[in-house]
Amino acid sequence: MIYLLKRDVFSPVGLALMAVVWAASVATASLGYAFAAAISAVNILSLLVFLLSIFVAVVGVVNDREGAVYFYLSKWGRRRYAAWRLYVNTLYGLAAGFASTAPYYVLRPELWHIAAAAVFATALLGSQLGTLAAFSARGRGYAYMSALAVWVFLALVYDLAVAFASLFAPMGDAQLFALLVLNPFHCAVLPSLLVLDPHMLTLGAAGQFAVRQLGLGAAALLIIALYAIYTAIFAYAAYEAGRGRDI
Amino acid sequence: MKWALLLAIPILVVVLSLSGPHVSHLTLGHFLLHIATAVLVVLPVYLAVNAYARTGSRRFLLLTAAFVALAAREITLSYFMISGTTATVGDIPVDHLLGLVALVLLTAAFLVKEQ
Repeated sequence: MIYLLKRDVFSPVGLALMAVVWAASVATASLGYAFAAAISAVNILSLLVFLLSIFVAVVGVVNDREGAVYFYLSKWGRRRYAAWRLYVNTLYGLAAGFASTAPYYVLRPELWHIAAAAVFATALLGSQLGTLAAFSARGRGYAYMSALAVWVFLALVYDLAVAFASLFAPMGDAQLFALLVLNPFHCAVLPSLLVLDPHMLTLGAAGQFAVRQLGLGAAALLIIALYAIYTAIFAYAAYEAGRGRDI
Repeated sequence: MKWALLLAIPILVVVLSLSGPHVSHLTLGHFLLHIATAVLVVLPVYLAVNAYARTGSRRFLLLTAAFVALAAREITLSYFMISGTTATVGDIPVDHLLGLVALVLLTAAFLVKEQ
């Protein structure tokens, strides 16, 4: 495990992204701790940590594949290598996520637990998706491209697509809520937002529907359960891809 | 791509529960629970059928039959709960009987002796 972790910690891509997230966490902390500022901070930090964790996972795998993978495979075998790589990627993704958002916790101690929960959830999800993308890709370029595509789709394009689709095909509140929770990235961030905004006002009609029909506790439980299911499936998929494919 | 099939389960549950108008008299949480059980019960049937196809043993045949009965019970119960209707044999609801059949088959699967 230490072999793998040592290589990852000094990867330039990971360090560069950590610097970006570090700067962004100072900027978001300077917004203050009012309602809108806190919501914005959680959203911005989650977006960036999601990207960071996906990319550090990809870097870890592609560096192995172009370097010492034969050594690892001959030493541990496929199963153990895939499991260790997934474990190390998750560990490093979480560590990088927390380290790079540290200024926010220091500058806004009253909100640290809310931001930390979102960072933890997005880093965990990002690590699994990044590992899956890198194990499934044909080479370094494809791995980066597919990882970036996953991030762009889940974090940016998905909401735009839903917004445009709702213009052309008017949807009810239930459908909007369904589309919201079908996105694993939203399931990672929403529990933190629920703490800040217990009436789900920032989610508009979808949030009103969830609170009215399910109640806050059941809505939170549903979102957390879906997040756990998505993350477990992506972890399993990443392990299977690493174990079964000719990497 | 087994993981893609697994991923389809939560997606299917969410889509079936929330995509149409909420016509049932049940609360959304209760409605979602019945959709989830009706979708999830297909998984053990699939696994049992696979196991029987691989081994051809009587034990797995009984296990497959038990899971099929359980799936029929869950789907029937979900339908009854969502639609507000019921079907009975005498005064016994059909889903109760299917539950009993599933239990008998499951017990038989444990007790049967392989040749």
